[in-house]
Amino acid sequence: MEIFEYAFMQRAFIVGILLAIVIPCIGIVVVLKRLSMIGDALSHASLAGVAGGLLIGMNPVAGAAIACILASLGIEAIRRKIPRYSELSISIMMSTGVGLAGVLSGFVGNAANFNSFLFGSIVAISDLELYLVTGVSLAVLLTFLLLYKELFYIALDERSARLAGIPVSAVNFIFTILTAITVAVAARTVGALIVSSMMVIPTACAMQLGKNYWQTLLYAIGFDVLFMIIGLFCAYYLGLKPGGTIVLVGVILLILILTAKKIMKVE
Amino acid sequence: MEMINISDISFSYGNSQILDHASLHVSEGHFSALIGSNGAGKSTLMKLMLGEMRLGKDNGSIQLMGQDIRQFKDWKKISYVPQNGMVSYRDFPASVEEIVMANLYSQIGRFRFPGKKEKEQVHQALCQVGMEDYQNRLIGRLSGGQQQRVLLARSLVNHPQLLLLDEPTSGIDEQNTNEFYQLLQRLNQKRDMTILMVTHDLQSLHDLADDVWLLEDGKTRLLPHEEIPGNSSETDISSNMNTTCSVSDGRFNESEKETSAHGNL
Repeated sequence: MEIFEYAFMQRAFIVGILLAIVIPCIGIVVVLKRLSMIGDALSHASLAGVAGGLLIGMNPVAGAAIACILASLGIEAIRRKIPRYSELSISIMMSTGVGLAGVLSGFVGNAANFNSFLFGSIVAISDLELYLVTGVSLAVLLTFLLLYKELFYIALDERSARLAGIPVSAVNFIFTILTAITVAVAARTVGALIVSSMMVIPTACAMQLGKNYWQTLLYAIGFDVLFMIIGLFCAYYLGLKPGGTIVLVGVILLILILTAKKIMKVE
Repeated sequence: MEMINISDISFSYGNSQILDHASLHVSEGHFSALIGSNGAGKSTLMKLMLGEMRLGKDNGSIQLMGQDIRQFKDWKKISYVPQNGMVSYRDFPASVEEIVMANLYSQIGRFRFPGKKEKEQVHQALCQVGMEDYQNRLIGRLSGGQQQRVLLARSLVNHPQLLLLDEPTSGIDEQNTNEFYQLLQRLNQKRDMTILMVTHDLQSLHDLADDVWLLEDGKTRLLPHEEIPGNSSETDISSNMNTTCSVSDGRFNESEKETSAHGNL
């Protein structure tokens, strides 16, 4: 196929599929902990990190990772202070991220470089970024599988999880770091404004079909990979921006699933 | 032995005094209930017992199984059934088996997935509450009463010595509530399991609990037997129970099942 003759498209598919496997692993826990907007908050914080990194001459992905880690620790700290209104912690951090990104980006000389983080540049990935995404994806996936039981129980019921012997604070801290790193790396490739959609939409689709947690996770990964492949094909052949196309494919499929479910229920 | 020994504790949120020199004692094998109106401080007392909130140094003491709560480590001997499982789990994409299995965490250990032995334990726990036919169902597809029974199975799966329940029947209809209480009674009588149930449902307490503690104005009082509220409940849950399960740990034998005529407990 013509699309695979180009090295940049091959890289785009490898990176895209890797991220499509990893992001739902984070996404399912985030959604079930009812913190769906956390991806948005972190991606906005990552933009602040990108701008800060570009300003002080640091690698922008490293800047994004640092900003995401700080923001996610901030979210967790505020969430513990006001557990009944945990979504408030996300809004506070998102506002901080947007504010900082807005101010700092005004001082960045190379606006194009900064803008590439908004909607990503999956078709302009360097070899270094390919290795970075591969390494981070494998590390996140391995950690997620090692903490599978713990994350499931914490998402289900944090209090009972602690009584069952799970070190809840430690697991939450590790998960926070995983989320931050995933968002930072994904912001460079699929775009800061798109990564949270890749967390939430496949999980939302999977929850319509899954008969248990494990199955729901596998469905979410399957959906995200499907969105990525269809999105990249559409973007290439129709000349669309890949990041946005991938998300729109997901939204359309979610609407189709919800509609089909409703029709089947009526029948 | 006293499974729970709360002596003279005081606790306040800011300027609002919630507990004022309150005490509560639950002996081994007893079924105790803690009652009180909304906002009386029942949930605060439960959080203190579960170690979620800490008492100040000079504000009394809490002992679980003879150990001070600050040093208490044997949490796997205690199980907890939360309030409002129905609301929390409505859309959660987990099967009944996965939910019960979650409590076997300390047995399975880290970095391991459950095996045949754990699956059998889950099946037996579900048998005990008559929910074995729902093992592969999504938790959100069950009724409120069924969900509470699954949560009870989750708390039973690792054979706790002390069962704490926080208003387990709130939002559940009368019939399911009575069935749930009978399950608890059977656990208490046949397994000698110590139970403390926080509730504001006063029905059936007379037949159910050995001791009833009233929490009022921050103080606790053990009610004399004649003051215990509630009426006798005659609902039989045998029709909802499956008697085909074998209980492999030897705690219940066939004759027990036949003579009890109440299914699995």
